[in-house]
Amino acid sequence: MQQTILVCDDEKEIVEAISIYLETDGFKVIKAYDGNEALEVLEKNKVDLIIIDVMMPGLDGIHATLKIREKMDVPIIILSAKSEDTDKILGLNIGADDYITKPFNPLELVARVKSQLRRYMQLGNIGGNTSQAVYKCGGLTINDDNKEVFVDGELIKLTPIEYNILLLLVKNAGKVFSIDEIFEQIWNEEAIGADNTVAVHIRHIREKIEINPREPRYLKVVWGVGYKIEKQ
Amino acid sequence: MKKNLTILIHIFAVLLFVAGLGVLHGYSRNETGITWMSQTTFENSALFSEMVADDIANLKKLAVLKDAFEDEGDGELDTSAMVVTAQTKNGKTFYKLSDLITAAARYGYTMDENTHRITAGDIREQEQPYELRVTYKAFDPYYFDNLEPGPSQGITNIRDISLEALKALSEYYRLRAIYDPELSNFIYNISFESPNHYDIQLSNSSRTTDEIKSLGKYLIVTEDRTVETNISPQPENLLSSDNSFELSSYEGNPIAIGIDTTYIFNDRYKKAADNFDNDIRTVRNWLVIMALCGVAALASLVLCIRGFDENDKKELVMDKIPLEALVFLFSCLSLIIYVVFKLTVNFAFEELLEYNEWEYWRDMAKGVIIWFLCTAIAGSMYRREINGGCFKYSLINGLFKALSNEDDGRAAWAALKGYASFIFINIAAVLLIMNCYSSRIEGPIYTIAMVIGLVLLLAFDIFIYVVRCRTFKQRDIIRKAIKDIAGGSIDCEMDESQFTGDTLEIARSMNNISVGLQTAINEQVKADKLKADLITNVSHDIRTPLTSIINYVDLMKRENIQDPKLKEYIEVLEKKSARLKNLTEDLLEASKASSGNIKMDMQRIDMVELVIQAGGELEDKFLKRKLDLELSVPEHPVYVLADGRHLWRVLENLYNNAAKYALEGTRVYVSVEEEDNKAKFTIKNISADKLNISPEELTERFVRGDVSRNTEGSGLGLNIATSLTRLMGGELVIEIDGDLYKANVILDIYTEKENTTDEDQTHQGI
Repeated sequence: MQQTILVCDDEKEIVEAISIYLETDGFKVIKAYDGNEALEVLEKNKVDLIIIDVMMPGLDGIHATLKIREKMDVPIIILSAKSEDTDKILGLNIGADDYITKPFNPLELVARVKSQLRRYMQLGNIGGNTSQAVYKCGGLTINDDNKEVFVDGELIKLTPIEYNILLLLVKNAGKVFSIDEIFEQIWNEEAIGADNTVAVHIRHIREKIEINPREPRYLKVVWGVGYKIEKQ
Repeated sequence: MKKNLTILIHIFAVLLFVAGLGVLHGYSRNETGITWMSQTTFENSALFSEMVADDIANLKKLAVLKDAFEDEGDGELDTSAMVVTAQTKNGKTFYKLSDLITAAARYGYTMDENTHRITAGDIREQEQPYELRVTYKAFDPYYFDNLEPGPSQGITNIRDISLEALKALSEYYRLRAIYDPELSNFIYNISFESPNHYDIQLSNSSRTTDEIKSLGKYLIVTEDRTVETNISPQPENLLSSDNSFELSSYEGNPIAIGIDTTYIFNDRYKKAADNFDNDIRTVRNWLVIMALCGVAALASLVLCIRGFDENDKKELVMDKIPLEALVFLFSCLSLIIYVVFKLTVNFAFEELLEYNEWEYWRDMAKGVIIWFLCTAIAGSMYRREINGGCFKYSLINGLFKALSNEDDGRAAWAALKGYASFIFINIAAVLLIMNCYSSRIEGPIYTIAMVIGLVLLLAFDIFIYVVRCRTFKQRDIIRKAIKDIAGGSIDCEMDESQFTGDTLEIARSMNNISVGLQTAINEQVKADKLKADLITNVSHDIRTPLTSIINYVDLMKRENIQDPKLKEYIEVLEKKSARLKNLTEDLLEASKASSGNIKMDMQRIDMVELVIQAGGELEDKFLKRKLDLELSVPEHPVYVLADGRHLWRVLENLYNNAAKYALEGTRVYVSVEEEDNKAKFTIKNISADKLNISPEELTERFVRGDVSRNTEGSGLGLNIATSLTRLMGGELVIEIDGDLYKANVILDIYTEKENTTDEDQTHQGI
């Protein structure tokens, strides 16, 4: 079934470009050019995901999101030129599911759209599978029985060491592990000397499970302390 | 050298001048001073007149002796002449000349036949000379008249009176030897009337009065006692009648004395004339020498003082002593010299030399020394004058300066006035109290006044003390405020109500400064924020069109374009738009970092862990350029207090720089060290390009090792890293040694104490 995505931005060219990307990937796109228009569209159409800009004439993205959230829990991705941490936090706090800054990578945008849709659609399915050996953390699921890792329902291929590291971190979500601790836990040896093996593995894991490894959602680097999986 | 020579000349000239003065002083002893310099000839001099007067006196004496020893002045010695009349114990005795000569011989006194000098020989008579009372002496006819009347009048003894007679005889011979000879320049025809009423005629030539008159210098006394003479000053003693020997006429002619001024005979007049000429010559020579010395002394003095070149005009140590002090010092020196002279020179001259002119030479020596002292002062004053005024270094000038300077002077005046009045009141009060104390016997009112005065004075002094204390206290407050401002605090407004007088003014000014500073800083902060906001807004505004550009370039790429030219163009667009994206992001970050507009979440960070993490994150970038990352870290954690994300950003920038600019295939060294309570992260690499700029320039915005190089970097990496490190209280030091590039991040080691106080501290820049 073709999914419908509402793209709302006062820059027509940007809306146009996003439509092209999304339509290429088989989505139906409805365009809107300010917040009020977006609300009108929502009243008339069934929409699966909303991409909305913040700075718009009339009703801006933040207020539009607030109004949308009053009625529906459709995934909302904010697309903004504002890159400050405070802007991101504000956006996510008022009910947006993701925050992408301009200028964005089109592939990343599509990937995030898909990710959001998968989570939204398949939320119930994986949750019903109640096996003891399943660890979940947001859109990240690890089935230790099959040694399989899913991100937003998509199977990810990891090497055994990468898998073990990720499992260690997910099992203890929220706890920060230092490199030495990870080394000792995974290799069962005492860590000696400065070795960036662990750090490299972590980077590889991030590259595999994160849409944008530089802004990870799951596997976070606590600089100068260690690594952790964000508890969600 | 030249200067020393001149000084020597000056000293020599002054000494010679003084010596000349001394010589002239010596000649002025005969009471005519050096005025006789004007009397160019001996005959016109006072000396000549004196000599004539001496001769006249001698002639008078000779007349008396002739009367005593000759028979009526006939020119023959008459030994049987009655010379002395005396009262002895045998009654009145008359002594003849021969008797007295014999008597004198008995006591050892004899007269030489030729030289007529008296010699004291062996005493033959051992008996005591008997006493006698002289009543008349022919060779001293007025002897008895001049004696004091009394019992001892004329008492003497036979030995003394005979010796006296002998001496008179010797004198008689001596005078006759001088005046008898006809071959003399001194010609005279004189006659005295003896008390025995006959004329004693004295003459050494048969010249007439007119002949004498033609001799050159003459003195004629006519019968009516009118004097005719060309001797000046006129000898007065010829006419004075100091005894009963009255001047009479000479064989009917006037009395005449003449001096042959051609000096044909080598007698005393000739000698005196020669001496006189010699003296004149000597004095004239000395005058010339003195004049030359005077000129030389003045010239050398001027030279000494003015100097020869610029070097001589340099200020000496003595030129910097206040002028008054210098003069005082020299006065003291003069005084010391005076005292020393009084003690030593007086003694030396009086006790050792017995020289009667010492006073004169002592004064001269003192004068010379004081002259040189004055010369030194004059030289100093000249040097002062050309080096910025005579009174530049002087107490008066110092005082004047202190008081005249408008800004500083007020305080100096106030201090002077205050202090002077304080001292004045105290002295006056103490004097009054003392007065009352000494008068207290006169009544109880004085005692009461004294006590009241004491109490008032005490109260006054305590009041002054309190006022001073208050001022100092206020000053302390101001000092503290100034210290605070100097230490960086901008808000130190003082409560003006706690100040008075001068300090109030200062405090007010301080408050104004504080307010001004606050305003300035606030405005600066505002301006910085405005700038940061501007950059933020501009960045946001650039992003929206940039998004379109990037997206449409990407879309173009997806169109299956075959034309290689178009493909190349699209590639350029893609690269440049990516570069522009990086630039806007870095610009935003650099602006925020340099204005400190970044929230710092300071936590305990393990530098070793961070370095290993960074190595893991960026390994592939190094591998891509075949760079070998050499890690050297301690085995234990090195904790620092920092914001992990921002410290990572700093290291990331440094690593990226190394990855970008290091020479391909070389090693990059990364180390973490601890030294002096500091953690030091170092990354070293060999630059691929020449590093021809300074480390300072490297950290400035938009500067890269090689400016013309075209890479994707924004050129802001080091600038951002520097700003961020500074915001975390650290320091980023870049070192360049040839092609070796070295970046150090130095941070304070984390301590537990910091942990308790700074745990939740967030560094929000101003």
